[in-house]
Amino acid sequence: MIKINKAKNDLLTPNQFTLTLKSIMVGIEIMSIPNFVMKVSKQDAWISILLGAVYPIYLVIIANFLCKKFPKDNILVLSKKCFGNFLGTILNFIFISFFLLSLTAELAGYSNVFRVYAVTFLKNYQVLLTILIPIAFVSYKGIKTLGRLNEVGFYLTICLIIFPVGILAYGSLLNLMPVFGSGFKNVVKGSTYTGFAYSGMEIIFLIYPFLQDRKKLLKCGFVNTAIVTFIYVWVTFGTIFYLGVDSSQKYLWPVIALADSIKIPVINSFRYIFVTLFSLVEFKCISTYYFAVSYGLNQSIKKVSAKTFTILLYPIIIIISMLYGNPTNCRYYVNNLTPVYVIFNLTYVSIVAVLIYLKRGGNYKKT
Amino acid sequence: MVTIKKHKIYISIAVTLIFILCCIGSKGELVENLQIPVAVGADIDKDKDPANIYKIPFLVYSFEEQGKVSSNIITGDGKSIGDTRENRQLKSGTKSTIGLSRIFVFSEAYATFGLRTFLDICINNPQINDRALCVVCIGKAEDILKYNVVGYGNSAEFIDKMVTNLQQYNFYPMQYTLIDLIVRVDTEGRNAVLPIIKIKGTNIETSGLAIFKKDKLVGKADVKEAKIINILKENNVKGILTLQKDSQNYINCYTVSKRKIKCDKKDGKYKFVITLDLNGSIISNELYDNLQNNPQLLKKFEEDMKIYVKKMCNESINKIKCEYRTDILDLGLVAAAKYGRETNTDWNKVICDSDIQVNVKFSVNTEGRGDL
Repeated sequence: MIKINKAKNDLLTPNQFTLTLKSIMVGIEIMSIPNFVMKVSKQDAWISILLGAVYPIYLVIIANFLCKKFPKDNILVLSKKCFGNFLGTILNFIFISFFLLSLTAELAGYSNVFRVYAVTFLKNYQVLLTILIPIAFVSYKGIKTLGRLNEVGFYLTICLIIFPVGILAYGSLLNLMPVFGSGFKNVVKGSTYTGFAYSGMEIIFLIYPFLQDRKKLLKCGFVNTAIVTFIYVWVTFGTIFYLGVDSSQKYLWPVIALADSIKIPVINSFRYIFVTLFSLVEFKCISTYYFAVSYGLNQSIKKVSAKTFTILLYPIIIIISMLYGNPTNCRYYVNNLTPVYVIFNLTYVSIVAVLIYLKRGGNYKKT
Repeated sequence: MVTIKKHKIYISIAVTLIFILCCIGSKGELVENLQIPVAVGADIDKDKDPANIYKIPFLVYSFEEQGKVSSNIITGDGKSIGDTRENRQLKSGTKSTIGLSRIFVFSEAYATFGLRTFLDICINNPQINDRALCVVCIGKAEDILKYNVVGYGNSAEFIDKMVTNLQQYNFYPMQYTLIDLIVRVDTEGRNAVLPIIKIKGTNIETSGLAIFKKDKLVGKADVKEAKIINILKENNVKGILTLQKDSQNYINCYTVSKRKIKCDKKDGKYKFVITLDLNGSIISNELYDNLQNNPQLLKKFEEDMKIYVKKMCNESINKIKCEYRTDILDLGLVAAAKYGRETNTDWNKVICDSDIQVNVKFSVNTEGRGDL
């Protein structure tokens, strides 16, 4: 465990840490999140998304608790301490497989969007094989490179959040009214559909030992949750404001339609540019997931280095991503698997925290 | 160290191979081999040929060898819109690119049949230009696209500019793009309207407003009626209002309108109050003598105009209720925003049975440089 901290260069600044968390959370699901939630909570979808932020906030609080107790051990080590070697390892593998699922879902989803809006002439495997190379490269280089990329990438792609401001000239506030018109029950029910959008925060349990100043973990987590929630709420608000509840559901990725609100002379449609710029966001997201998987596996099987895992995972990820198929199937699998994993993650993390709380001052060092 | 270096070589070879493999088979197109559609029409021929009822003409730019650009029409027939693509390719010497058009022209017959099929293929196409303007034409769409307007390369360029500049007078809003149409067609409590164009004499001109219920054309308003519908339907539009006694005595006012709607519900019946705030600049006055120096007279003019506009609005609302029987004014949207959505209310029916009041405020803003 001491190996992680062998050099100060391996540590992330609070800013890098925050933006790494942001990067992993905001991925391709941002393009379709309004629709998932709108099915249930209609024009109040943005309130549901606000409520959905409870999940990452809960994870941050638990992570902060674990970090205070064991600042140098990540959850994989802690779970082995709590559940014993055998059960702990199995649970750890399930936990890591969640990252693998999200990674492949993101990759397949991205390929689906990209092949529709930008590169209609490419085949699925061509897109997957090529884009996974730079992603794997970043992950191969380790946490510090990843942190730097996420920091720089955030500032480069901040304009993507600002672009859709143009919709304010076209839409209608009437589309959002009446507030709470869909009923409080539906608003709460709608917030459960935000699982995939807010997932990814689980990585905080793997990487909190990398944070330079551990006292700032809580602050980093909350700032990140605020950024992500703001992005999702803004995007959902914009979609309802511009397209309305009924028309929005006609699109597979309604948020890309928002990009059309910008009218630049000469450029026929802004969609292509928007999707291309969005690739940067998506690359960051997948890289971070990739790192989480290879680092997590490395922590479980110490004999093989994280770098070797990165290379070994490349063909596996391609094969799994190919299995998702078209957008409808892809969504079906993701929407059915995510709730299971979210519930698993919540219980796994909570039980570890509770066990550690109960065994306060116990004999951990025996392992 | 040696092993890592060896691995690095293998990895870089693998990466290069992947990139080379993925580059095979994809290539761009020469511009000479592409059709660039500038306008797309939609027409339907119900009676003649049941097998090929859709007629989708493309007005395309073709690029010739010497850098010349010409435009011609290629029409595709088919029993569905997708089939017309196949049929069009059979008649054309270049590769069809779809989606870059500037205008969409729907024929009256197709609009009555319903725009849904066409809008569906548009919403599906990721290359489509969402800001393309939509119009309804009298007669065949192909004839309109074929028509040569003096001073323009083709009719599409002319129609594009004409519809864009409709907002200058006649109270037309700038809301006739494809995305506006898509958003209006299926939204609860909204209905689309589109400008109607037709060939008159040696020119193409706007001849009114096409009124849609969902995606189907249900009525055509002439230019005069369109003006009042526009004032009642849209916020912040510009046009000219005239009070006239005879052809020598009249007063013109260039007016900017503002609209507010209030909605109440009493005993299950809706009541709407539309408040119009008109702000006008006198551009010609031959009706009132010595208007500049007489505040009382100016008040009287404002009062006269108010009564005149109110009368026109009430006439128009009656016609909407009795003839079109459609919620043209988007009042359903206001009611739905206040009293809840998705209650299975047929707003077109409810609005026609409800009480619609119009309040008009009129004030003179500027009076120009003088009065003859």
